[in-house]
Amino acid sequence: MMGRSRGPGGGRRFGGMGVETQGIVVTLLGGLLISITVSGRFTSYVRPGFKWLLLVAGAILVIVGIVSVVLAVRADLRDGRARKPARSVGSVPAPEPQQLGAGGAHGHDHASSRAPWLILAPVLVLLLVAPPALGADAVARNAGSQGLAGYNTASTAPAGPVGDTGGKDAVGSSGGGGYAFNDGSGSVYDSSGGRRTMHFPALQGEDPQLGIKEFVLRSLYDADNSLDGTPVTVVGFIAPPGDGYTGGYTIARMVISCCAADANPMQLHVDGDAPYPSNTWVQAVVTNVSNTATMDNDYVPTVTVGSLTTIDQPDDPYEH
Amino acid sequence: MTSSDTHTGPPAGSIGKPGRSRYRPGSLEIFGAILLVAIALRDPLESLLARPALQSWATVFIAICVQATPFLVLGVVVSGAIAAFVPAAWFSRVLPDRPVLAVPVATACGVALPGCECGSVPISNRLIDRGVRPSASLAFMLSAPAINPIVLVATAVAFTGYPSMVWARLIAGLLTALIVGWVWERIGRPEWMRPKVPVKAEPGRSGRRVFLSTILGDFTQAAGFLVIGAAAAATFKTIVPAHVMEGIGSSLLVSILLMAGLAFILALCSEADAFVAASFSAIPMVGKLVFLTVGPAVDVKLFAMQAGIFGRRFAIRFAPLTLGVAVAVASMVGLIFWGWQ
Repeated sequence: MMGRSRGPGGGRRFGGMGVETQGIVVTLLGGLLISITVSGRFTSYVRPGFKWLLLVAGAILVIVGIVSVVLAVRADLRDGRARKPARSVGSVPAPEPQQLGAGGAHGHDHASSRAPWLILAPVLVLLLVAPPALGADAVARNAGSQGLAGYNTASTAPAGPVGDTGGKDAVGSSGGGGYAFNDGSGSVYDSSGGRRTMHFPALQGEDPQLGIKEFVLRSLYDADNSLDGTPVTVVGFIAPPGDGYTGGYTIARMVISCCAADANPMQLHVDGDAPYPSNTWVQAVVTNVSNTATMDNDYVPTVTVGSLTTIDQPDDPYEH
Repeated sequence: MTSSDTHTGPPAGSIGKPGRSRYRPGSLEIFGAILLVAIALRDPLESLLARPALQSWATVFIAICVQATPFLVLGVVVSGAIAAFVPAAWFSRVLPDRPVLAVPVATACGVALPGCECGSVPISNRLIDRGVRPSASLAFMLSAPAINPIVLVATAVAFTGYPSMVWARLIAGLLTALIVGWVWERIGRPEWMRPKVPVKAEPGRSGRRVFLSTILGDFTQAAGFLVIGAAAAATFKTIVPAHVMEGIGSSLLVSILLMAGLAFILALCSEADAFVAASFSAIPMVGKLVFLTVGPAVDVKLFAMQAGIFGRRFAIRFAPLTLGVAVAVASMVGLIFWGWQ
């Protein structure tokens, strides 16, 4: 309790963060969480389901921060009042009340740590730079075989695809369910050379909208080949061609399950020169070219483009 | 020294006024200076982070921070409530005196905390503060993120086709927490832990004050180290190629080691890791279970937080122990469940 040096911010040791500053930083962080959530920017980082979690957590941080600052400032003012008479009389008898004030109001076990300063890193990056959603660079960086990366759609798609044959195949091959093709071979063909299949709901209407992930799944596994000769509408961004393709370009979308740290790309290949630079968001009517997705090109199917228009980045830049 | 500092004498030496005579910037000034520098350097910073690789890095870094913060807030609110409203005597009444029994009871309590691993570190630290045996507190810290209901439901959804994964994860998580707790009871030394400034039960401070200051202190402390972990995980995510996990499905040993390594460096939230594990389809089930068991127990983000909160000497001993136990337990449980497939 004795001999604490307290600067205006209340820091005990040089570099430690005082309670007032901690309160301000926490308020700032909470406010930023609320602001990116309300403005919708949070979907560049986490899935939309985080909305309420972020709002509640942000509100708690703002309240804790503001109340801490108010209490600390009030305690400082009390200290100041206790100090005043001491200064006028002379310094020697004064210290007693100051020490009591300091120890009582700030008896806090973290005030000397430097770690809280690091919170400023994400705060400043968010405030000043605001990183965009993952784009073409992350596609190239994270691309793996699409035959491995996403066939759980069949079990989790909201439309509730008919799972009869898929389920049966699954039980027959390796234990059942949405991860039926998981035998470690990394191939869409089973050991006997037959193509693994499952059933998807029929496509409705003209140029129906499909996620790129579901497009890839249908193109690889659909027993009914529903994509053959059927133009569908997809939304994605332009990216350079994937491994195994020398020319052309890719229409891609990142798929996340929780946050951008677990993102995987899903790609469709298009021959010809890219009409727009990388990272341009487009809505395209595309038709699957049968049997173009092979192990050598990471199961990226080729599509022909009927029409292609640029659009703004969707509210949720990721698929799930 | 100025005239105002004439009242010498050791006890008064550094209080109040003397701070003005030899100027040392307080944290508010440092904070202001950092803000000013950051605003002044905004353009260079922006063009630096506009490079594709660094942009991806920044997005993943922010994503991990944003995603972990709500769970950390939950954790520090629970920690604050323990500090403010639960008398220390309560824990000694509830937990058995014998450590052999205290560890399993604490492990079982982990089922009740619906959070992920970031939140359970400050809670465990608070429990030790309140007189709970370190071994029991640490067992709770390991079990809470691995086996709570939200995590198990997420696992069931991700592994729709393999309900056995939920049971395997539950058993492996419980066993890891139990074994590490018991081992720590035997080998753990109090001096490895950072000495704590004892939080005195000051009669003048109301429960609400303690609640508030514990939340603020725990949050800023843990979040600071979370930032280090997030930066490390984002770096690994950016530089480790995705192809690394393809084509090794045939070797069980390689896949176990690879999955343990990936779980450590990717530092995923335990509520999301099941979805990621499920998408590693070239990996045998045993490897996936290793991923799901190691991840919540020890990863680069947790290591940073534990080093910061419990002390480095603790973390460099606890992390390898946990990693070894988690890998061994998960491999055993996995082999019992699924054999060599």
